[in-house]
Amino acid sequence: MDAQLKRGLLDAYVLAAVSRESSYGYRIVHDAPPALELTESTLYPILRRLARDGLLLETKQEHNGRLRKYFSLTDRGRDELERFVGDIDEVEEILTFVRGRATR
Amino acid sequence: MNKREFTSALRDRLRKERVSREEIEDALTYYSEAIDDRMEDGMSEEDAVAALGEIEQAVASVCADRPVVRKAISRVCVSRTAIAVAIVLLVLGAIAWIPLVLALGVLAVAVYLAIWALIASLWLADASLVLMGIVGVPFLVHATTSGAALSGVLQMGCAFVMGGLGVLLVPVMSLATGCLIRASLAFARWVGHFFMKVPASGRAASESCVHSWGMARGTWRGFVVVGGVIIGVGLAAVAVAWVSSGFDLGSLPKVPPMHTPLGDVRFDGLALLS
Repeated sequence: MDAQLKRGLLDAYVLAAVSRESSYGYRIVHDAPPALELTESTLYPILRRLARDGLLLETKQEHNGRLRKYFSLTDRGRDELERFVGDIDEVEEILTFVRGRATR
Repeated sequence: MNKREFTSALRDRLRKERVSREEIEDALTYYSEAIDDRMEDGMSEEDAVAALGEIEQAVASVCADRPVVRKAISRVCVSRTAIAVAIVLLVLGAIAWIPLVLALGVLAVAVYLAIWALIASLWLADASLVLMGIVGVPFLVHATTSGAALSGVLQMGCAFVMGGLGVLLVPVMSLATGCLIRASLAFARWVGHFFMKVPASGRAASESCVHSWGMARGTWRGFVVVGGVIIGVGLAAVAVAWVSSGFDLGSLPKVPPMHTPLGDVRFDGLALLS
């Protein structure tokens, strides 16, 4: 997928991935739709930025004798996710137009 | 490559990039957690490390969102020759960059101060309106004792209209102040983002600037009611003076200046009306 197109979707994916229950780095990468081609290296700056902006909350929990960092959604993060979902209809409208013009 | 080799190689590379110790530890924790999780999922240690991709990608992931200035510094700081060249250039170029940096600094401070000066002048203007309203009362007493009660009523009426307007404007002032403070913070944040990581202010801040009045609904309603009543009383006083003067305010006698410890107070409501 085009890198620029993907960039906007990555934030939304990460917010959605931790929205039902808290999650951790590897699981977020593992659960990602293959089209996103999400790797640990792509995820790391996104997690840090979203946490810094107050959209994600970081907590450390013990797992198998080591500490694992879990991420969950803050109220602001939930607002942001809802805003994105609200935008989907408009995006679909644009996509329908583009597809209609592009296919003859 | 095993986990230990990966983490120590990553540590070395990040140190070279002048990443802070704290950030290095955070990144190493993240990447070792990722390796541990993959191994728990059934991968071998080597495979788990290989699945993370090139070490340079990990380095880039840490350096990706560093502030402009620090990125530039770390780029320069990678080699000793580059540092030497940079120092020589800085010294030689001092004649140009010192005034430039100073000018930019002064400009930044000036913009910041201008925003606050605007806030202060708005409130001063409003306070002077309210003060005018307050002075109306002693002036009425003074005019009455000087034998020009009706003129005093007229002046007090005008003063009350001004003072009421001042009270009425308080919620507007408060809203404007809120917006301006946010503007000054946004500006400070913008200047700061060149030097350090600053959390995004979010769209919420600018929205609340428009939708809230900077104070509780009950409070600003109170100001509107009180201001409205004072203006009403003022207008009534002017009307009384107008009717009693036989619809000719010009015929009312002039009130001599009121002597106060702060100086003489003259009040000419007619000048405001005509």
